[in-house]
Amino acid sequence: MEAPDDHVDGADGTDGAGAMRAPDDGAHDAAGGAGSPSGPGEPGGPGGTEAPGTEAGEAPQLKGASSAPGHSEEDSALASGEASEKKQVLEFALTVPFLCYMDAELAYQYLTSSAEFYHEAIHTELRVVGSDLFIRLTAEDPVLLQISTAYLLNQLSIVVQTMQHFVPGCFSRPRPGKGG
Amino acid sequence: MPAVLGFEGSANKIGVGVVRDGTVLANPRRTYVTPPGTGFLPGDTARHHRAVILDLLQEALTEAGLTSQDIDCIAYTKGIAGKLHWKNIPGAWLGPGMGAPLVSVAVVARTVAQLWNKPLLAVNHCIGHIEMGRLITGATSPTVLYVSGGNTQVIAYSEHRYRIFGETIDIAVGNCLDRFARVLKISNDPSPGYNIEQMAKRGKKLVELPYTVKGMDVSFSGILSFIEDVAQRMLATGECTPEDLCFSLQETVFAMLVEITERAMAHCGSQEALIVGGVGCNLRLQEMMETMCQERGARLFATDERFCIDNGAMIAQAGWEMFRSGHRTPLSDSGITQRYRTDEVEVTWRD
Repeated sequence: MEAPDDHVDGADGTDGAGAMRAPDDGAHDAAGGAGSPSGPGEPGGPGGTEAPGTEAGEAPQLKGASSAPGHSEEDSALASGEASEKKQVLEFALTVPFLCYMDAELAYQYLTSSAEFYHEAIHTELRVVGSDLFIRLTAEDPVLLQISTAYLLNQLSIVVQTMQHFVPGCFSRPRPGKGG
Repeated sequence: MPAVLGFEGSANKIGVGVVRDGTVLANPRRTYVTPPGTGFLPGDTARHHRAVILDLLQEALTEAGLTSQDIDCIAYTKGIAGKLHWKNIPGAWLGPGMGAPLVSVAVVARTVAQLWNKPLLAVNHCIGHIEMGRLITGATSPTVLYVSGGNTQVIAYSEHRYRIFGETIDIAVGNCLDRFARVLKISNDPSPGYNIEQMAKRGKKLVELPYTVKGMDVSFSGILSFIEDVAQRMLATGECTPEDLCFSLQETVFAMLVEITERAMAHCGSQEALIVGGVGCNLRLQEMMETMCQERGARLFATDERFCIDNGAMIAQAGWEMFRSGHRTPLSDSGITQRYRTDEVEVTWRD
C-alpha cells in the first residue's frame, strides 16, 4: 500500500455533482468532523464511534493531553500512563455523493469486494444511503488507519475516474449557485 | 462469437487486448521504462499504469472497431506464478505479480465489468502466455518453456492442468538478465534483455560462469552474484568486454534452460516445444532450443515480440477459452494475488 499521489480528483473535479469532502486530516472523530455524514438518513447515527470522553461536535483529544503550556513533567508522565491504558479509537469517515443510486452501488460493490485487503485491525463500514456512499474506517492504530485510508481513497479514485471516462454524463451536473 | 476484452498489467507493461474467435482484433501496449541502472518499483509502476490505462482501453476498442456493447466478457490478470524476491530497496519486491500494478489494472477491469454489465474473468498470467502461444503457433500439446522477468518454468499439459515440471528455485532468468543490465548500466529502452541480446551478438570471448541445474530445476542467483562481483574487475583489467559478458551470460543461462526443457520433453515423450514469455523473444534462445529440438526430431514453436512480451490479448485469449467453457468470476472473488501458481487452474477447455 502507498499513499495516493493525488487526492480524489475524480469526484472533486467533477464539476458539481457534489463535492467529495475529504477528511481534513484523515483520522478523526466522526461526530462534528469534516467529511462526516449529516442530515436525514445519516448512517452514523446513534452508536457511531466517538473518542471516549468527548462530546459531540468537540474535536477529539488524547486523554490526558494538555493544550496548556508549561505543564509539569509529572503531569505528562501521568498523562502518558493513562493514555497508554485507554487506547483511543480513531476514525475516518467520508460521504461520497453520486448522481444516482446505481453509481453509488457500483462503487459500493467494488469497495466491499476489496475489503479483504484491509488489515484485520481495521473495521470497515460501507453503506449506500440514497445516492450517497458512506464510508467509515476505524482503528486503534493510526498508522494502519492512515495506510488503509490511503488505499481506499486510491481505489475509489480509480473507480470514479473509470466511471467518468465511460459514462460522460457522470458528475457533469453543475453546482447550484455557480452559473450552472 | 464471443469477443473478450483482456487487461494485463502485472509488471512494467500494461496492455489491453480484444480477441474474438481466435482473432486478435486489438492489442495496444505501453511500457514503463526506467533510467539505466534502475529497476521498476511497484508504486511508480502502478502510477504509470493508472495514467494510461483508460486511454489504452479506448484505443483497444477503437482499433477493434467495437463498442462496450459488443464485448461479451472482461478478463484481467488475477495473478502470476513464480517467486517473489525482496530487494534491499524499500517497497522493491522483485519478481512476478507486483501487487500495486495488478490492483490498479484489476480495479478498472472490475469497474467496467460492472458499468457495462459484463461477466468478469480472473486469468492466470502464465496461462495467458500459454494459450496465446498455442493460438499463434498452432502447437497442439507442447512442452512449454515459460521465461520472463518474473517467471521461469517448464510446463506440460496433463489431465486438465498445466503441470510444472521444472522451475527456477530462486530468481527468474529475465530477472537475472535485467539485474545484470543494471550492473553495466545498460539502457532499459526498449528492454534490458533486448539490449543485452544485441550486445551479446558482438561478444567474442566465453567467460566461464556458474552453471546450476538441479534435476528439473535451475538456479540463477548464483550466476548473478558471481557476475555482479567479477564484472567490474574484469572490465577494468581488460580481461573481457561488456559484450563478452553479455554473450557469456546468455550462453550459460540459455544452456541451462535448454537442458531442463529437453529433460521434460524426454519425460513426456513430447515432440513439440513452445517458448513463451518476454525472454522467449530472444533469438539466441530460440536458436539453441531449435538445435536441441532438431536433435530430438521435435518441432520448436515461438512467437514474436507482439505476443511474447506481456500483452492484453493473451489475457483476452485465455479469458475467451475460459468463457466458452463456462468459467465466471464473481465480484467477491475478483481480487488479485501475487502467488497464483500455474497448476492451480483447472483447464476445463482442453481434453
